[in-house]
Amino acid sequence: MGHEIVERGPLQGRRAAASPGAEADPDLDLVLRWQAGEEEAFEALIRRHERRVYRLLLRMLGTPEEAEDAAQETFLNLHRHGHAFRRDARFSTFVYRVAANAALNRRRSRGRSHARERSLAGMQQAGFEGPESPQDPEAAYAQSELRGRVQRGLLEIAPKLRLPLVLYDLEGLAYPEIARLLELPEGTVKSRIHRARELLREALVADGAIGRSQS
Amino acid sequence: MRHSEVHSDLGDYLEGDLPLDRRALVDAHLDSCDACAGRLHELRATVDALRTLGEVAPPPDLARAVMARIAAGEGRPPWAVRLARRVPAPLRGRLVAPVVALASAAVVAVWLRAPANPTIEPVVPAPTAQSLADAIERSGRFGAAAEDVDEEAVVGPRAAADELSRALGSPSAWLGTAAALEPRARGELLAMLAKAPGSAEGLRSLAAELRRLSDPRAPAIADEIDRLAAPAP
Ligand SMILES: [Zn+2]
Repeated sequence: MGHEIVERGPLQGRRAAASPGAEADPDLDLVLRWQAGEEEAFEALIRRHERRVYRLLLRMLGTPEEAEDAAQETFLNLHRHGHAFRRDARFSTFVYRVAANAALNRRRSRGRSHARERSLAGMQQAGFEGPESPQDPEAAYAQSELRGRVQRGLLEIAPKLRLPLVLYDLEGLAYPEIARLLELPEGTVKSRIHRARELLREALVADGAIGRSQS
Repeated sequence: MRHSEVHSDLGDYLEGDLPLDRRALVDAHLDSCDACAGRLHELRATVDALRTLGEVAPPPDLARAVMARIAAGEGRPPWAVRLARRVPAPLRGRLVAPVVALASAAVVAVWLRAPANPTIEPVVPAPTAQSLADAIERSGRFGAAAEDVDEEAVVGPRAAADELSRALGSPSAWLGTAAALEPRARGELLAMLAKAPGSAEGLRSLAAELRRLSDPRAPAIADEIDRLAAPAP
């Protein structure tokens, strides 16, 4: 039987594990213009990064409302702290770091229990629309049902495991970039991702979202 | 190979990260063990399920909402702005950036610092940078954010320390920033530093280092720092 390697994430190709500064940062021009005082350049940076920031925050927090609030906080923090951005990392890594902090701080400051996160996620299931939703209504329902279960399963995983999992499997970042972003050794990043996947597997099996293996 | 060994290899196996010889062992086991093959199937189904989450669109007015809040003054460390405004207008364009950079770096450091890991390093001169972060934190303006950071939220304290180190940097960078400030603003910044507990020693060593520079602006600023760092009578 073929145990082939899983394809890369559907969202974007995993970026090459370049060392910081090894390739041109596509945001650098806008960043420099903004640091020189051009606020329109910052707005352009928001538009360039808002999709990834919002997506990360939605996966980390579970509801569109929370994600939108945290996305606004992320860009405000970026505006506050971004003047200190140098060029030792890609700007996009810096953005992810600020977004990750927004997600983690938010979760803490709200003191929200996982149970509440779960119920909110359940209410929001319908909001998780993928671009490739099946036409068949029954299949579409099953698909959206599965998404709800996956999102609930995600929220049950401890944030420090959930974050690298989301960055790897949903944002398509490579281990070295995640390691840089979280300031963790690459081995730790890997093992957290594997642990998180294992926990999600258990949750989805227990939930009946994926069949016990038909071996 | 034991089942448990195979289980712990499946994550790397799935990512193609196993060395070839190890991979061959796992393959051989999977061919003869339904339980482990089933586990692999579940893991793969988990990753597939995860990826059904797919794409989402951000709220269409996100950028506009953020820019409106920035225009209302939310996007900037308040005291940095206060300092920057005191810089005489002709110099402002050239001087605002380093001041804001310095302020931002300190705020980043405070903001990312975890109570569990309060040492910010490596910073030159370390006590002064630490004191700046402390002073800002103690001013209460950013303290709430710092307290919000728990151990899990430690994302980038080393990077923050690096930013801070770069902003304050060498004594000559320090001197450049300090000399660029209008005297009252400089007094305010130094007073803020001096108020931080334990900062006196760091300030005195900073003053000593400034005196070693050949820059003609250095002695006066070193004196100013020494006056603030003098032990209370
Ligand atoms: Zn087995």
